[in-house]
Amino acid sequence: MYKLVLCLRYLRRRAIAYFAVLGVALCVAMLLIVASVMTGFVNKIERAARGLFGDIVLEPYGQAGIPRYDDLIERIVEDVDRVEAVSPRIYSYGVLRIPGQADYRMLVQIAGIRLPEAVTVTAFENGLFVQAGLAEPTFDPPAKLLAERVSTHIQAVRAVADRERDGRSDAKLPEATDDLLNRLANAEGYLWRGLANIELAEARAEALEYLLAAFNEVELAGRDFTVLKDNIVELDELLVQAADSPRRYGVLGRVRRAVGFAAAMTDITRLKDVIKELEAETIEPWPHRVILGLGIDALSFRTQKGETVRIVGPGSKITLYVFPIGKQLSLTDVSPNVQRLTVVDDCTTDVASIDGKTVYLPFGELQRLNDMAEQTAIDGRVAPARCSQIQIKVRADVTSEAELREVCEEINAVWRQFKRDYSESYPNDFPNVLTTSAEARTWRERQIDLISMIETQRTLMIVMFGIMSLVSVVLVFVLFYMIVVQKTRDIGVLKAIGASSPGVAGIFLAYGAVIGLVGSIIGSIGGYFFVRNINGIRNWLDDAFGFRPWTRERFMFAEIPNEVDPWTVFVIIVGAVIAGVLGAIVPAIRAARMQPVEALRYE
Amino acid sequence: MSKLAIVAKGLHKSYRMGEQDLRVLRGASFSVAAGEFVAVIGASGCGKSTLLHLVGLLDRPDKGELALNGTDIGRLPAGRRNRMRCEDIGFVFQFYYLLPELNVLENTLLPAQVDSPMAGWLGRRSDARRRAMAALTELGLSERLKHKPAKLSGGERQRVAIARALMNRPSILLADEPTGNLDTKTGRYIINVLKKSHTDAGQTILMVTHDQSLADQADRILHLRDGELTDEE
Repeated sequence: MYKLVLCLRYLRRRAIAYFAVLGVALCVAMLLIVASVMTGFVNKIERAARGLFGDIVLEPYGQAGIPRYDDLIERIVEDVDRVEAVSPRIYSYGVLRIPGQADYRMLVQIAGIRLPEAVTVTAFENGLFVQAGLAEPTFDPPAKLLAERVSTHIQAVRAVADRERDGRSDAKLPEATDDLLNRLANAEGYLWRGLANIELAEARAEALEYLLAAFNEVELAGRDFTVLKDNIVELDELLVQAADSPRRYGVLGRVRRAVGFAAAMTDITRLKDVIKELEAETIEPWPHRVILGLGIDALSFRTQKGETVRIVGPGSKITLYVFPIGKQLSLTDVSPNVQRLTVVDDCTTDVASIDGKTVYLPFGELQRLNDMAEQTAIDGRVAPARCSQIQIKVRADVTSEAELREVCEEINAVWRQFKRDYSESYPNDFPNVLTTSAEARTWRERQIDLISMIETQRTLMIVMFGIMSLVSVVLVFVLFYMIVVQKTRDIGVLKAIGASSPGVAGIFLAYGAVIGLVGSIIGSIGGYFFVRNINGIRNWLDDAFGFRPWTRERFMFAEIPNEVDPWTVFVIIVGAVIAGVLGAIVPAIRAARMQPVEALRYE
Repeated sequence: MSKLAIVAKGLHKSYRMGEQDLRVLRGASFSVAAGEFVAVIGASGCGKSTLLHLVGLLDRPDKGELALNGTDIGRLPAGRRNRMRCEDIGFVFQFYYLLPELNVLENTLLPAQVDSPMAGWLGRRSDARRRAMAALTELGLSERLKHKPAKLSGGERQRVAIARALMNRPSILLADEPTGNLDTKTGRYIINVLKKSHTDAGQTILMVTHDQSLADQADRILHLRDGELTDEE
């Protein structure tokens, strides 16, 4: 009993104990912060990697691709129970250019995906800008949604500019701010142009709908053109409304003229012609669409406060020069296929190395551009359409890496069977798939380089900081040694009234454990709040001192991970208690072995 | 003849002081009957405290036999020695040796706590507190229960030390110059406290001192000279 009483009393009465607690608390907080942030990174990257490629990827070596993939997918879905969804992908490379920017060229990876099917396999939809929160994103988002998102973004860009300007005149702006404002203005200009394209598409759709209705009315009335009078009045009103939107005004003007002409000349062909024109423009107003990865150099940038500013946003045009690396019939001729595309969305996967160089095209489009579409050779044989890889999502009950591996093996078995049956199933196919070897791998196996690199870094950091935390053991040791020396006579007294040696040692060991426990609880609480608010602290450091230990423009993630794993907290607390006891062991033994007579004589 | 509380035969004890052995006790023999108040007198440094430490089981003799309450403690294991120190022996030191972190009441309770495991303490706590309060009240310290030793005068501290020594109702009370650090008046008060416990409760007391007038208060005086004890009436 006296052990507890004395242990608690020493803790409360000795200022020295507070220093020990403080030391332990700081070490614990430090370890917790490092472990949490690094673990957060690993988790983010793992999530991103899994979100990118699905759980399992079946991929051939080389660029030959997988022919008859839809049949293969059907087999996989039928034969492998634990597969939930499958989607093919094509990967190629190309050069991205921006019309009007002669100097800009960027080497990009091009991914051909099937939307919305791809989101059943990957987490593609999570990072979309225009179609954020839509369960079934497509390459054809509604023009209205596009216009709304781009307008909002323009407002946001303006808000950033206003904040940075902070009411100062041009002459008083620091160079960096001036530079930023120029970039923001440039971005706004591009965004406006994109918005104009979107509005044009929107106006054409509106006009076509209107004309078709009018045409039908005329037809229903037995080609009585007087019904168009109402339309003319209505169109004039619409034109007044559209005065501030030149594109809409232009398109509506065309409709007004056509209706006016038709009414005046009682001529149905004029209406038909314009409908045909508009149909040509509207059904495929943007026949070729692309979703950009957010982070491609110069297409967007991030401010120091972490805001993303798009320059080439939705509605803008880009040009892609695709190297048809999937070409098979003649490898001697690999000239790029050029395609002008309209940006309809952008996407972030949380992995900067992917976002910074990937654009997404519709599967069929890239298949064509990459020369992977079906072709017929002169001799009548068929080179079937191919995909680069097949991405597979497994059912939710497959959780462990080992189970995932089992599913991989099942898929490999299906693939081998598919190969064996191939010649029989598709006798006319050229080239034969027998030359293709492919393998299913789990997302972790596929991304092992990236993941293991970060994991190694995490381990290294924790070990380093763990070694630094030995400081706390030494601290406890030193303080305890001092306490034991100070308490020598008390130890003699305790022994004189019958305390045993283990009992005396117990006081100091319990003391060490309590210091470890109290210190680690304080440290954990402190560390927890630090990690939870780490982004706020970052912003505060930036605002108050201009100090940026974490530059958002450079790092992979906009936000520092701020998750705290309870298990980590537990391990650290246990570790700190053990450290406290370890630090107390030698002094405790010294106290225990002290002869009472000598201890009493101690001055 | 009444029972013997302390029987010592030919106790030897020496310390190493640098190169040579310092032979402090050279065959000291004496006995104290239960209920007797015995004073040991001798010059400074003659080994009085060493003798008391041996009897109090704080140290082991190099040679000789020692029996407390009829138990030969020569070959007793450490655990039994700890128990005897706790239950059968009370110590009063010249410099009080109170624990500075604990208040008066807690210091007094300490022997009862040492004697009791954590679980047992809950059951014994109220009884121990009552006894400690009673002892402290009798020693005139009832107003001082929550004070730290640093706030007390020398006499008060020694009274706390006596209360602590008597806490577990030991059969033997050992006092090492209990008034050595106090003025005459306070010293007399302290010696009266000891005498009172002797006369009222029949407490066996072995007290060492160099002060003849103090020793005169005892039933019997032993002289420690040249490491040996001689009786003197």
